Amino acid sequence: MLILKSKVLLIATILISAVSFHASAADDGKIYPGTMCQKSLGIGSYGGGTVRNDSNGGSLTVECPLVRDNMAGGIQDAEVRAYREDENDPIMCTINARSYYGTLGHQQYQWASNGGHYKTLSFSTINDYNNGAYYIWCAIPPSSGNDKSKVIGYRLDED
Amino acid sequence: MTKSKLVIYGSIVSTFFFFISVGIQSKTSHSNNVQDISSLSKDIDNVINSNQILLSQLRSELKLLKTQASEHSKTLDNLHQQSLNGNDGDLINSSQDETQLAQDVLGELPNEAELKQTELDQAKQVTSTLDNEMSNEPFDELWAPEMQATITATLQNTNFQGSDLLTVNCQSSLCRIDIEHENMNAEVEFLHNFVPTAGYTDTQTFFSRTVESDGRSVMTYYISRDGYAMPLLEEV
Repeated sequence: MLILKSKVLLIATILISAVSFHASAADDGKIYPGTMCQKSLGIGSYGGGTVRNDSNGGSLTVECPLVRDNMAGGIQDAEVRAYREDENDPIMCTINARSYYGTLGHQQYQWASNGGHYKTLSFSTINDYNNGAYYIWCAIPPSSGNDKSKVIGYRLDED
Repeated sequence: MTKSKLVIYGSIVSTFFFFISVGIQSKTSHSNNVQDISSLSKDIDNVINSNQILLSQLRSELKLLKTQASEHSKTLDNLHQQSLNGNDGDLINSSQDETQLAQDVLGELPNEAELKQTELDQAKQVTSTLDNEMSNEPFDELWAPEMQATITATLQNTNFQGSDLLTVNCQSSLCRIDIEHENMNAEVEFLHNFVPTAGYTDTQTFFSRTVESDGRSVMTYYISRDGYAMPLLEEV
């Protein structure tokens, strides 16, 4: 009887593992370091996993790639973690969902200007297109000292 | 031997045989149970083996798919680079060679003409849905005229000198802007900087664009009122 129970438990374990392996491989959240962002306009550098604005006068715009696992799914939520040297400087990011050929696009904008050096910009579900790409765009405020304004990391959770 | 003794002896013998037969039946039953369990155990072993084989096959297929996806990604990068060199990054005008290469690599995906047509259909569907939403909304007399004026004034900013405003219309939660950009740089400037320049802090937008042969981009752009979400559209 004990051997019988063990075998039934083993079968159940194998079946559950096969199902959750498939599910987890497709739709888990992903976290990216700021160093994955590409500089677009402005003066910046990379270091410590972050992308930093080296200018004391202008903002640095960056485009940060997102890997889309689920071609037919959507964006559940996303966030960007950033640091501002001057806690009164605004920081703005958008999450973008483009169509396959880029002729259609949805964007959500988030803008933080209240106090606090560290800011988390949070995005909710937006419309998207099957087989289209996602990316995040940010405008990082200027830095006047050694503790530079930067994008530290960002995250995407898919449906 | 008296009759009574015969009866007694007979009873003892029959009782003896009765217990023997019960014992034989229970042994048989027990033996059957053992056989059933053994048979069930073999069935379970077979299921386990089959599942292990299936799991192994699934792992192999997943590995193959990952390799193929990686190769496709490299080929798409090459295609994108080729089209960037050709015509300002507009993938819609890719050459026949690129189309053939894409089809050879991408295999089972629908052909490019079908994909383009699908996007055009999607654009019509989304703009039609958003126009219907707007026409079903009341006109907010306090917010809408002011927002239309703000949008018009913002686009006169020198940052947007490469963009021409054609029309602007706001209702109560959405505005629609029809705008033309002289080139991709002007379009990128508009897409990233119009929203903060106009003073929005929490908004969603949708655009649909077509690129003319001279590189101009003609765009229909919807923007939600600050703090409002764009209507969630049916997945296409």
